[in-house]
Amino acid sequence: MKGIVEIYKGDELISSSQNLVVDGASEVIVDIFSKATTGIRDNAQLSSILDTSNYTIQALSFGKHSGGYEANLHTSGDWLITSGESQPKLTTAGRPYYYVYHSATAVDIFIKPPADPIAPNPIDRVLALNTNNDFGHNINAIQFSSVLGLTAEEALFAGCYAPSEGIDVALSASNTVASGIPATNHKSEYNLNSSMDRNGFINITTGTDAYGKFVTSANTDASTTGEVSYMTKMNGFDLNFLELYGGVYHIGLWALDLDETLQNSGIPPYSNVLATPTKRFKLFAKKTLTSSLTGKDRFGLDNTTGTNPERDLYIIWRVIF
Amino acid sequence: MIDSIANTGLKASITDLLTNSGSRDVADYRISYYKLGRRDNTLDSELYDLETPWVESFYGDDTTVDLVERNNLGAGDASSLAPGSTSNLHAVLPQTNIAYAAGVAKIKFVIDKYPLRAAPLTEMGIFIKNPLGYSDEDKPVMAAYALFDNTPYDGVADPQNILIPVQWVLSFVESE
Repeated sequence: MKGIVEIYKGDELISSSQNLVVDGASEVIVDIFSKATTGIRDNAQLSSILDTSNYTIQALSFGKHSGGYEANLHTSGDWLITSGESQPKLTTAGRPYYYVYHSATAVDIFIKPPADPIAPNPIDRVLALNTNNDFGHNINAIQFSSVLGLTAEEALFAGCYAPSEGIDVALSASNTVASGIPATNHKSEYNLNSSMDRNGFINITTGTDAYGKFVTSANTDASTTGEVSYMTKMNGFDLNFLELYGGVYHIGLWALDLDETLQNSGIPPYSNVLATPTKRFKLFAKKTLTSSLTGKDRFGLDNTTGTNPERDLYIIWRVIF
Repeated sequence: MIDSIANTGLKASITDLLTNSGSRDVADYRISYYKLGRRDNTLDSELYDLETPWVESFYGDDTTVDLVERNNLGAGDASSLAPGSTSNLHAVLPQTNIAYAAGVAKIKFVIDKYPLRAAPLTEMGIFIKNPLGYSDEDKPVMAAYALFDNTPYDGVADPQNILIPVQWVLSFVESE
């Protein structure tokens, strides 16, 4: 069993490398081939546990090393704070917005790299330990601030995806309010498509369109090749946003954690509930990068090209048995 | 201890499960049968069955093993498994004979005294129950295969007086 992670910029393949399969994968697969069914088969309520959908890969997530959650837009230092205010300015004309600045030029935003990269390990259960949340990766706090019980300011510091109603981003060379800075309304495709839950898991959906979604496909000869592909595609707005929060250094592939989900949510079937997720996930494989997936050296970083298809990030994760 | 070979059937079954192409019942993917046999020739590149599975008389009239006739899955067209044309004997593996924890499954069965009097034993296979979900009866596919250089009881003075416990350990790790 192995996995290959391919990263495309538009149509151009810019990276192809092997993932790390973690212990969770072995647990899921061994469960499939050895699951005891006595006492379950004949119970109408419990028999849904045996549906194969409960044993499949179901989510993708992005993250960074733990130090990355204490820098960049996770802290107040990189926000534009208007004179006389103590917090990032959150609303104007009824729409949330923020400015991002750095002392360099507007197009040369410097994202602080994480200070404490740790090599991936097969025993890993999360993408990173000691993050600012319970999940070890980037969460979707701005979209779901109210159900998370966060103030708007707290949600902005938690990150890491633009809400579906949009948020204005302006890259500025100054941390003072300046006129004429072009701001672009950023909307996360994952939130527009209702595919990401509040915990930052992009839940798998049916269909073949990977834009702002997480989907799977297999060729007709998959039984022979043993290859199943998982895909997601994000545009420049999501790229910008993730990079401003410190970039992406880990990608995680997650299977359903059936035991945990049974304990927390009862018997299947489980649907994708984004605001109050019922599913619990088990890390299946992870990909760790030495430079940010969303880094400006790969994709640039500006506030005008969010919808440029040539700049879209396309990830194909090939799992081969 | 010998290493076994993971077979095409295992790869095809897990792929079918992940793509919703096979049975939708996870119980159909359970290791549920095993076979014993004799191989005289070199291994094929794709292995779907034992070369010479034991016939019923090898197990003995008074065997406690539950034996059933099943039609194995083998290579179908380019894209799928397909049932073979003839059925042969499979030993049923009781559910209680599989223990699993922490990503490792241990499959246990015992080869009892009677066959060891005369039956040649140089190959074994374990089989997934019914990965394509046939409704009439199981059509298993071989998941893993083990080949011995010699019959394990060669050199034993009274093989009819010993039992051979088999523990087949399955784990899934990253490959190169």
